[in-house]
Amino acid sequence: MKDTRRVDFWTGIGLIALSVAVWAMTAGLMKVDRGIGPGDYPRVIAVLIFILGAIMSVTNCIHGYPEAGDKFNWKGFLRTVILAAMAFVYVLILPYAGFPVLTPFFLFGTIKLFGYKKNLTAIIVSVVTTIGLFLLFNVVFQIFLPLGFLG
Amino acid sequence: MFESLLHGFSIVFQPVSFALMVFGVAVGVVIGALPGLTASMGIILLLPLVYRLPASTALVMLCGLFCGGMYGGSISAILLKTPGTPSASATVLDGYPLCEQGKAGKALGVSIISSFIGGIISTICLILIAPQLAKVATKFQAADYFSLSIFGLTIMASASGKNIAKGLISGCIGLLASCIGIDTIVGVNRLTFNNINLAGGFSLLPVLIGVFAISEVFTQVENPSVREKSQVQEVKNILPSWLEIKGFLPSAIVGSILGVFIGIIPGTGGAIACFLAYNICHKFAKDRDQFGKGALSGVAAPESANNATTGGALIPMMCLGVPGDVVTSVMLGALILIGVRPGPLLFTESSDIVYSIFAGMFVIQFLMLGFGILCAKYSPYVLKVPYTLMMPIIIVLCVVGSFSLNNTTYDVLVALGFGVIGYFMKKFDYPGAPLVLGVILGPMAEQNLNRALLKSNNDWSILFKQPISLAFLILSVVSIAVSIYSAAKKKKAAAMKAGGKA
Repeated sequence: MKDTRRVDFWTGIGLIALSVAVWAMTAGLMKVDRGIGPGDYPRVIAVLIFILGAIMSVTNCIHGYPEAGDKFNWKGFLRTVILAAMAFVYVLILPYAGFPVLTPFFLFGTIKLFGYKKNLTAIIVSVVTTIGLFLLFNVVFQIFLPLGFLG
Repeated sequence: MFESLLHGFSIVFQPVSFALMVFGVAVGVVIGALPGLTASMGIILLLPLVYRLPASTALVMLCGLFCGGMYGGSISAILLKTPGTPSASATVLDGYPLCEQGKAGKALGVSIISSFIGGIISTICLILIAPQLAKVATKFQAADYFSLSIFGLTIMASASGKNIAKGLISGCIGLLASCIGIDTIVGVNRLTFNNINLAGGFSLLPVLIGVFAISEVFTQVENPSVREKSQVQEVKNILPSWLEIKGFLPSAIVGSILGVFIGIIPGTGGAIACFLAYNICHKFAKDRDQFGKGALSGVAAPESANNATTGGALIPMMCLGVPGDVVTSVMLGALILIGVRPGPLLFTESSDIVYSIFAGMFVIQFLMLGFGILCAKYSPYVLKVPYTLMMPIIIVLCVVGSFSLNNTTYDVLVALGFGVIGYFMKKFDYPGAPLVLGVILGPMAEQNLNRALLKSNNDWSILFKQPISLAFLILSVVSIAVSIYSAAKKKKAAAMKAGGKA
């Protein structure tokens, strides 16, 4: 079984901080005489989050702060970080470079990140998928994917 | 009712609806068969297509995917010893031993026939129970709806994870996310940091895509080469004999009835139903000695049960707007995207949609049976699709799907953001379903609480004075208490086991 007690302890602390921040951010919102005002509902949720955060921290600390959790798969985590970073960069550049130009590179990079070895197949899949999706969305669904400098 | 059902069949048999239903079943079976991909992910990937279709057509396609996905999970459970979906977990116990004995085809045949039986029984229950429940639900008032939202969230939080606190945290984060944007009651900006994009709040589609699909790709990239070299056995002799059918039929019927009722309980679903049906049939089946070694009843019970949850899970979703499981929570999101608000009024205002779902569910079972029998032979090829190529395509589909909502990259960034949140939640055992349900039910809870308080002159005791509201609140407390009690019991048992070993 996974030992997530250390993470859970710090998640609890983070949730307490979040609830305090929400409470503070909704302090200036208008009040109403009847019913609930715009700040009341988030504040009720903030209180719940505070209580749950406190429960998480206290229950995970009650038997002493855990010395170490499970061995962390840093290599795998790094691959996830790279994929997430690639995805964010891809989306941010998409309006400028365009879907048809950028997507084959993103797909090829992702395929390689997943460890697929045959380069030619990876290139063919990247190009064919891009063309297929572009035609499907632009022609069939009439959803115009960004063309970037091509448009 | 009969006339409405006939009208439903006329909608379902329109060429486009029928073709998309076949497509939904086929996609569902393939997605269900591939470990790591679930019916909810399949529905999410089809959402950009769905909200451009008429509501009835879109929904029968999604129902096809839902049912097909339930059956599809058994394919890899039998052939690879890896359940394609959590609902097929119990099918491994007897399905894989049958495969080892060279009876993979027979196991798949039993699985498809049992899935068909489960699907038909659950559809009949859906048609009989849902309209009656909807009639009761039309009497609900604002306070009742607020308490129902709380009940939906607590039951989903308590059922979808090992730790109730984590489920509740997930639900609260979803509720908080639903607060971001212009407040629907007074109309002021709330938690937007003066960002114009945040003023509109988070659209449901990017949240669904992020939590259920992108997070899965992020998780899979951690250990990408696990299933690359799987050996799959040849599939032949699919149809069981009449004698064999007579042997497993009682288990399939028992599994179906159990599945329907487990499906109706919000927050449960196929994974719980399949094990419960397996355990009960293990005690009473004629071939119980063979259970675990390749009993046909051991495949029939869980497979009928998980498919029977489909109709059961649709009952609370359609009548109350509270999903029965993770897949129906995604379907609830799809309904809202299409512009249909599930609830008792659905039965009076959009009865054509309701009855086309009923009719569609019937037809889907036959399509699934035909598709399953005809294509079982080719199922090993589906499992050979390199998943290192599939996952990258899925992430691009997620990007395109989120973009298609408003033609802006902002929605894609929201989807990626929720993908990162979903990844960490999965990694540290926080269930994603309550978060999504919080986003869906948040506005409903807030508006109804406001209405109830306006009606009662800010008297909060209205929530406890109205019997339906009080019943839902009591059920919420009971669900939390039961969850805490069972967690403590498990912990005690684990500690005793560890002590015994020591």
